[in-house]
Amino acid sequence: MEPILNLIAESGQVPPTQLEDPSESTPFFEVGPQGFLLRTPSGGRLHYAPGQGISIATPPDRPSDDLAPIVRTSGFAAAGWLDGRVPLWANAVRLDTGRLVLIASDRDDVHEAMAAALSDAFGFAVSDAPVVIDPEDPSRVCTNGQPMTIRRTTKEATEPPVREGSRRLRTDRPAIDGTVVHPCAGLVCVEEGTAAQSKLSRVGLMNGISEIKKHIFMPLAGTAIWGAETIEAAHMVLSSNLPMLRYSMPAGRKPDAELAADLLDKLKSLGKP
Amino acid sequence: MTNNTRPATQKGFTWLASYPKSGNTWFRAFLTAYGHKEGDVDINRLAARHGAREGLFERYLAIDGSLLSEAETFIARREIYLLLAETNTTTAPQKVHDANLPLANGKLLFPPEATHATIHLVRHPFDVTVSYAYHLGLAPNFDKCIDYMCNPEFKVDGLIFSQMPQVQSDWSTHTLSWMDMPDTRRVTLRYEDMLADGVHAFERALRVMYPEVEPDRARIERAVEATSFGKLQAQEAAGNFRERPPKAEAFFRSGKAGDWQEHLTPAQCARLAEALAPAMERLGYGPDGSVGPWIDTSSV
Repeated sequence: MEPILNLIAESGQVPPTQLEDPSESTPFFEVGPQGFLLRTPSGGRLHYAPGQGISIATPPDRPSDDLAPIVRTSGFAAAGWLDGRVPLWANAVRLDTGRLVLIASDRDDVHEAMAAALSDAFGFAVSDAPVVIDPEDPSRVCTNGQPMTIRRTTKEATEPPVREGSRRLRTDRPAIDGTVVHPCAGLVCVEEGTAAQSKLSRVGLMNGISEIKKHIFMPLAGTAIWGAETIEAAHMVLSSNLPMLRYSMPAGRKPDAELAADLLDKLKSLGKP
Repeated sequence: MTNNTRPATQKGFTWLASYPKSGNTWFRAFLTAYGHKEGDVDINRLAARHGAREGLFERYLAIDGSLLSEAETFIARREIYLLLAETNTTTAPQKVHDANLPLANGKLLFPPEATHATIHLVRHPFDVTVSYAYHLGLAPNFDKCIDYMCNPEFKVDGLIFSQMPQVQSDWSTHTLSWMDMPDTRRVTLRYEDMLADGVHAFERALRVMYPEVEPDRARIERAVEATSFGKLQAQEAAGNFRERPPKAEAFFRSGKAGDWQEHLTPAQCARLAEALAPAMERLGYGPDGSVGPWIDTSSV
């Protein structure tokens, strides 16, 4: 299994303006088994095809690196789908055992804050979203190699945007190497709880399928590439094989160093993560 | 919950359009109760999700929505509304707080071609000011909220709830943008009229939303009873309301008409009345805070 990052080198070619016989198309992307073509709303284009890598066309009124964050997210995910793997909108945290724990949530600000808290409190390297997982062996995960980015949640945020005018911000936390495939211990779904105490519980098969569906990145593109039946099977296989836990935070609490330590303690109490 | 009112072949969105704090959430609660065979409503499971939520668009963009520039979000929204209206026959009503203004390309953000119907909810801007100021955590600084409501360029960034940016504009421009939207089925409901006769108001809305279905009067009455302000307020007090902004002490705070008299100075009212006169006059909203008789002659 090759790291996805190795597949998305920029070719320097001019991307096509359309794909032949795409199996799915929207105003913003076309996709089929042969490749993926993305159009940004401001007129940029990004194309990925297996064996060809990435080609981009930047609109004249945008900065020269305008598409770089989109290459690392959408391009990375498209390469994953076309390589038979599933992109998940989650951050990965690399524990001191060397294994990754994926952190997901219904809300970006929640999983990003928890991943950041784990990194800040314990010095763990942390990945940007998305990560790409092998459904047949979910202990194998690739990251995009970038420092994690965070959704802007306040007007007062001081971090610079990753793309001109965007609401996603850069951070400088240590990144997880994207040029190697990492072992993965499991997925933790973080949620805002209603009880006074936090709780870590296992997620069963059916709820696991529901969680996986919620966190898949670019599901329409993936379904077009794989077919609906294969995607459904992948949901099932991932839910069966990927250890999944739900961490309910105490009512009214947001992720912070104390909750990061609490989560880590609870994970360790279940065994060496 | 059941949805027994929408024909399967119906295309286009139903926009529940309003300036914030004008009865939109109340209307959504009503729709939820009306669609429930027992008339129940859970304020954390309301019908009609936010029409600017990023999750609605990302699937069709294949881009993380927070990577887009503001200008790109408006282009994307319009295109995807058109796409979904053409391909999705089960689209639920969408709550929206944007003004329906032309984008840089001259096309309306909410295109008539993507619109099945518009339920336009309005409230006297004096009361909106007070309610919105509490909602934003500005009260008792009502002047700041008046600045917003009189600013044609006023935008909200949607940072807290993962929404795309929204141009609300000033209250008058916002109101007229929906009242003058061409080629669309619409009803404009005044909050004060909904308070006075909810059954009649909601029945009018249902006729616009579901023109082929006769509204069920008994269900309307039951839904109006289930969604009284006191009951919604009690639900929030007993638990939580996930749509309450962090800076607001309560989402369902007062609910009554004329609350402005307890909060606004004559100078603040005069400022609002002068800046917002065009739409106030159209709607029978007096510069003295009165709510005069009004017939929505332009509604379907």
